[in-house]
Amino acid sequence: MKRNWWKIFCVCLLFLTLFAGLLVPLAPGLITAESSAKSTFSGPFTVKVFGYNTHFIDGKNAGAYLINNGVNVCATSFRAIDNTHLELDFPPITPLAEPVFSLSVYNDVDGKLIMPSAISTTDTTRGGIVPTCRPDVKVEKQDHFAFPFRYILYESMRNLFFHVPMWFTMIALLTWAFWNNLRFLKGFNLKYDQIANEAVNTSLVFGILGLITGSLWARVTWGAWWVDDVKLNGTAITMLAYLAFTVLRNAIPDEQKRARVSAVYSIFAFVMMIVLIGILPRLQGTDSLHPGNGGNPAFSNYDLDSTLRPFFYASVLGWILIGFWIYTIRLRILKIKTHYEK
Amino acid sequence: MKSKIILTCLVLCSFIELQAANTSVDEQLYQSLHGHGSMNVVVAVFAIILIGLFITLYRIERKITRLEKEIKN
Repeated sequence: MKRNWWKIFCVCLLFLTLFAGLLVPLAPGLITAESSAKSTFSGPFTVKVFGYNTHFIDGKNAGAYLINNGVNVCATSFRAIDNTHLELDFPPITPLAEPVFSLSVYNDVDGKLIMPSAISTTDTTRGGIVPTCRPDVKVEKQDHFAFPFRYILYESMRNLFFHVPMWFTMIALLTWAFWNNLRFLKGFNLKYDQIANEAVNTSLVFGILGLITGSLWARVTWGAWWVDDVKLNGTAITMLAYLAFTVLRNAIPDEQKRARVSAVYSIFAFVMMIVLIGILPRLQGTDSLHPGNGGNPAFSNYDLDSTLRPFFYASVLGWILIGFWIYTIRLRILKIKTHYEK
Repeated sequence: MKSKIILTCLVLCSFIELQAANTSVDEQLYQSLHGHGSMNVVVAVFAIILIGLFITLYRIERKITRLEKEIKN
């Protein structure tokens, strides 16, 4: 039992991630806004709003306004059809600048929701009189525990606990393999070669899972199974390099020779992986869709990250531990096998 | 064994192809993954990870079976 405490810890962490990752609700947000006026706002118009997890009926002190160039235009009537559907009437407006309006809807349950660039027209007149108002926002927001609402991602944000830890696990196992390659090259003890080999084999499982799950997620959020992204191409090269490593190992019959060649190869592959996954995508000027890469903000820059962060770290640790669990089983099988072969 | 699996996959694929008379399979998949506020993609991702873990388990088991046979002989 004493030796297995980390396995129990791993199971607990994964259960925590599973329950929290799937059950914590998403914060309310506005998904679509459709205006009845397409070309001009010179007459009164109606905006149909579709919200997600919103409380248009349940929320008291509700109101809505449009924002153009820092000037607010309040809705003259607020008709909630149900908790997620809303109709707003607006007076005629001549936009001050570009005819693109942000929409803000507020009530005391959801707080203030803002949809940037919600509606627009093809109107070319500028600088007219904009009916302004001071929205009477008295929001006593109830503090719900919820994951942040992000456009395009929506609920798929929960993949943060399943797709991203795959890569962390792969990198953790490869780091362990790298360390054992170095130990092998120091004394040429075949024990370390076995450790490194099994760690690489296990890491490939997580790498392949990361690629497949990432591909699926990319189809939904970025619109293609594979996009031209530095991070994606970097991981593809890394995976190919390590797949070549397993083929290379099987091609050399002599045990010592095989261990030496694969140790040197593996060290090069590891350094290349760090450059391709860790450094190149983070450089300014590169184009990447991944958060934290190519000048994109990482999720730690977002205001509501504190809800995601503890579960994310728990999930990363949990998946790394399960990776090492699988690796130890494989290593023990290999040890028994070599013992009997001798 | 392998050929049977491939055959099953092909038959399944052709069924999906027949179902999708108007829209492409890819488009249908895209629509279904978007369901429940993109929640379906989370379920799909989790299912893929489970399948991956099951395959790993199966491979480990096969290794042990082979080892057991070797020790017996």
